[in-house]
Amino acid sequence: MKHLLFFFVFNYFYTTAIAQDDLSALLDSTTNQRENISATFKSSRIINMQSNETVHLHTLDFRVSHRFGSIGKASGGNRHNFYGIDESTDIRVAFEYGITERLTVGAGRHKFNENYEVLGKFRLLEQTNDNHIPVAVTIFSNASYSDEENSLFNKDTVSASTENLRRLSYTTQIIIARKFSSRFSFELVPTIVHRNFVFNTQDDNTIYALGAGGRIKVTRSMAIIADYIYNFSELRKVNNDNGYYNALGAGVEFETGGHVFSLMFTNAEAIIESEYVSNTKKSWTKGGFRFSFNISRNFRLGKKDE
Amino acid sequence: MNKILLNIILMMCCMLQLNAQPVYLATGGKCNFHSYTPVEDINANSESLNSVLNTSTNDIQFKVPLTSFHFAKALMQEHFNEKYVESAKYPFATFKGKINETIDFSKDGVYEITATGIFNIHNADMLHTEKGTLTIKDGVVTLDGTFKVALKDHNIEIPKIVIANIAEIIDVKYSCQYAAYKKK
Repeated sequence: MKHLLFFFVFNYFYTTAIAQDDLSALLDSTTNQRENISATFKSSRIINMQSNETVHLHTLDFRVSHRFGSIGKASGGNRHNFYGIDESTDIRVAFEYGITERLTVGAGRHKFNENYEVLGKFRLLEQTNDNHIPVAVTIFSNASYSDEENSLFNKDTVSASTENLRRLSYTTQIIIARKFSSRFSFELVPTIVHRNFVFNTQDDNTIYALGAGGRIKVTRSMAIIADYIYNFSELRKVNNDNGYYNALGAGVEFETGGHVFSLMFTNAEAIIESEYVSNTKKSWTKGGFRFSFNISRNFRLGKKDE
Repeated sequence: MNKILLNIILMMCCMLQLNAQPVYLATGGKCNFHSYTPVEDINANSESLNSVLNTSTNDIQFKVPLTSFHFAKALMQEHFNEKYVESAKYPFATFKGKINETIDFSKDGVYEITATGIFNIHNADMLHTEKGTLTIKDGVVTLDGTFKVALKDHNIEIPKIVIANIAEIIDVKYSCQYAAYKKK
């Protein structure tokens, strides 16, 4: 009889336990597991490089970026210009707007060579949590017009319309990014820059480059960021020492609801792709790095309950 | 020998009973949460709340993917997932418990019920006893109710800079419709 009682008790608990597990299993089987990975990077740029992120739907991203003067003595930094802080090699003010979650358009103005910029950015693929799509892919393209007063644009006395065409440059980048964990994201960025006109006769109009960038999250709101672009153009090969360098940047990024502040050091003097990829003439090893910042502020413009 | 036979029969009875357990399943249930402060009203909606209910044992479970919550501001949604609930690490909010009242599921009616169990979000368990309204009509069971979640119970920390914008206690509303589940 004891035996029987034991089994009653056992079976009661057994069934209850199994019942809860059965329910859990059933519940799990009804939950769709595939989702897109979001927030691979915190902002549309890392330092110099574009990230795979686009601006959210009906959101305006107001961006201000600064590149100060070189810090090192060999590149002109000293206490009389407060190690470059009194100078600015480039300032960019731009508005970027999310037409959809995937498509961003924008316009900006740069101090460096007085470039006016229009840009478009489109998210082709999003990484999924089950690795069905292992990487996110975004395509970026921009065009810029240099309004700088420079007689070289009028070399061989060309017509006004030809001169205008000479002032245009274009960049296209394919950004392939992966969020390896909630702490670490990395991207590779094949890049083509085309300048309609180059001042240096030995230079190529079209140059190819490969960028890489990453982000390591340290706390909920702070991350370490870095990016580098390698240039394949003969004139800019590292060993050729023609006075051109590859742009390298490293810094920290702070995020407070709606703002992203990036504080960093880079040898790139310019902010726009067509210039920093092709026209970085300062070297880290010669003290040619500068303090820089990017600030992004997001404004939601659409209706409240979309 | 007889005893062993008896036990085997008993075991089989139990297993049969398991298979015959009437299980109700709800998918695509609605869940909404609301944070109110004088500075900001924040609302998020999900239509991915799933629930199972065993009408013979009164066991009830809920599960909702946190990434399914939709906010008016996409950036807010990103912050919710990235900084507050950490949905990459802890993807779901769940409740596992039992309905305390005995309900005749074969009879139409509206029942005020209570359920006691463990609510889990952000990897922290809290014992809750919450009220709900169970409606049975023509074999369709619907359940809806509200409850409150204190962020500090679940180690969800609000940064000082937005402390005025996010309430410490969040109001949660849910509603789901069950149908009898048949094993395929």
